[in-house]
Amino acid sequence: MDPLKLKIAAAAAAGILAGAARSPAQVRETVTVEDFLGSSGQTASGLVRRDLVLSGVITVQDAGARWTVRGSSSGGRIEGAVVDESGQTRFTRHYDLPDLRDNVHDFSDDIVRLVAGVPGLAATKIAFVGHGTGRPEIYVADFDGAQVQRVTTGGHAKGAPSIGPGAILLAWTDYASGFPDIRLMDLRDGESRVVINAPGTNSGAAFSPDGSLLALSMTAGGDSEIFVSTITGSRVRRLTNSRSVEFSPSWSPDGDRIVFCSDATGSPQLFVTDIDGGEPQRIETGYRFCTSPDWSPDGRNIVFTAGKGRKASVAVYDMTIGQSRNLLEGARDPCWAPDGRHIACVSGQSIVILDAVTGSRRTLVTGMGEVREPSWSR
Amino acid sequence: MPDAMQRLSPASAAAFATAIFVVPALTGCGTTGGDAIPDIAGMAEPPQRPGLPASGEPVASIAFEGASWTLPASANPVLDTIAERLRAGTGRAIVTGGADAGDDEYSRMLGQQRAGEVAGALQKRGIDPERIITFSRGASIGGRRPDRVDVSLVGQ
Repeated sequence: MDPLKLKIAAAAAAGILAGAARSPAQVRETVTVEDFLGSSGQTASGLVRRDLVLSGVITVQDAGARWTVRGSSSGGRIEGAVVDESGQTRFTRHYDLPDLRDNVHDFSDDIVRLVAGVPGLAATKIAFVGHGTGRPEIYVADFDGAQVQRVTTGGHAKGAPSIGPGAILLAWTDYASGFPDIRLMDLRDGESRVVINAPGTNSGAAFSPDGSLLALSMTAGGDSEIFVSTITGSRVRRLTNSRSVEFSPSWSPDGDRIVFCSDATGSPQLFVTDIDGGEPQRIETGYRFCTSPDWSPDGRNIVFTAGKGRKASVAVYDMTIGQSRNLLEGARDPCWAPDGRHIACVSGQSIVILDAVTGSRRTLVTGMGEVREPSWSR
Repeated sequence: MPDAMQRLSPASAAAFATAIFVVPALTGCGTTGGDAIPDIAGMAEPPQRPGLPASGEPVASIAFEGASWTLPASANPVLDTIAERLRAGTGRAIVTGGADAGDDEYSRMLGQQRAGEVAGALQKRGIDPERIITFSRGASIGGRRPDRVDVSLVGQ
């Protein structure tokens, strides 16, 4: 067994990679969402039902469920409660953000966390490049495809958006200066600034799990290499050193390693390197052309694009058994949701959400011309 | 919940955002963001690109094959001419790489690799590296054949 697999197997044995995706045979928790009281109660309870269905881990039924959700909503605020099958109230909470949808999403995530024991998705956001204006811009959508907002302007080339933890910061490759710089935006007020404008090409920035660092491709002596940078761009460190093209870094969930692509063998393959240095280890995916890797939040899997053009597919490499499998033909640019189960990817001119366990999928956004490079907040 | 699944709280992310956008002393690139922004060992301040336009007088276009970044032999007379013009003046060469390699990010960085090869060839012809600016537009370089490097001159 190669050193990388040994390291991963040891980590799994130590419980570091716990949180495996559920098997299809696993019974879903059942929840009944009663109609909420109050002036916005009907709307709120309907949206909670929808959020729970979209979580993929809960079955919503009219009656007889193991869990019961109750609440009231007026003026967009929610008073919510969850009751278990014994009749015991497991929690009550007041949700008073200005927007009803935000309160619904927070309540739904609390329900999913309690009932299914996994992170909820309802309050997460997905950033992507779209051409709704006819020119490339960055958009941010709620996890259910609602409230799709264009957050950039200018019409110049843009790419590789990465949305940080809590969906507060967004980084992307921006050509406003004519050159490829890394620009950072505070999504709460839309303020942005260039943080990395080193000579050459700066691209593919990815937030570390704690949001304090970026991994990205930069140019060193003419070659494309993987670097780590503070999110202000004040200090950087090179991680790779080769004559080939290194690109598309993605962090392990513990922040200790980075998976990236390199064409050192003649076509792009996946490699893993320690953030503290050392020789990168190749991942034997079994595919000849691998791009856009994204390390799952549970540490177990790396999803990536296998092949290119019409033959591209979304595939996943299971690091504990060292094998890949195809998840979706005709799709590319995959990224994990925080639950380690759902994947956003590009299929045709749509962003679709794929359930890696059941294989079911839904369309997140479509009708915006070419879309690409989705990134899911964690 | 195992450590690997711990997530940054929105409050921490907000603190980072405040350190970047709100601290009044911060201007431009290369600022530290104060004590709120952590560092890792061995980091150094990155260089910054000189302020220049990203385009100038077009001089030449060099085509590349497939996903290769190896300079074709046919590029040599073109590079000789560019080097000659640079030696005759005081301007800089803007070297713009392009590629359509089947993945957006691969295309961007392959385009950079190609631009770097052209820059290296000009250096071998005696051109000061300070006078050569490289970058990539990847697949967005436009035109019918994105697998190319465009060279233009500024300040000649």
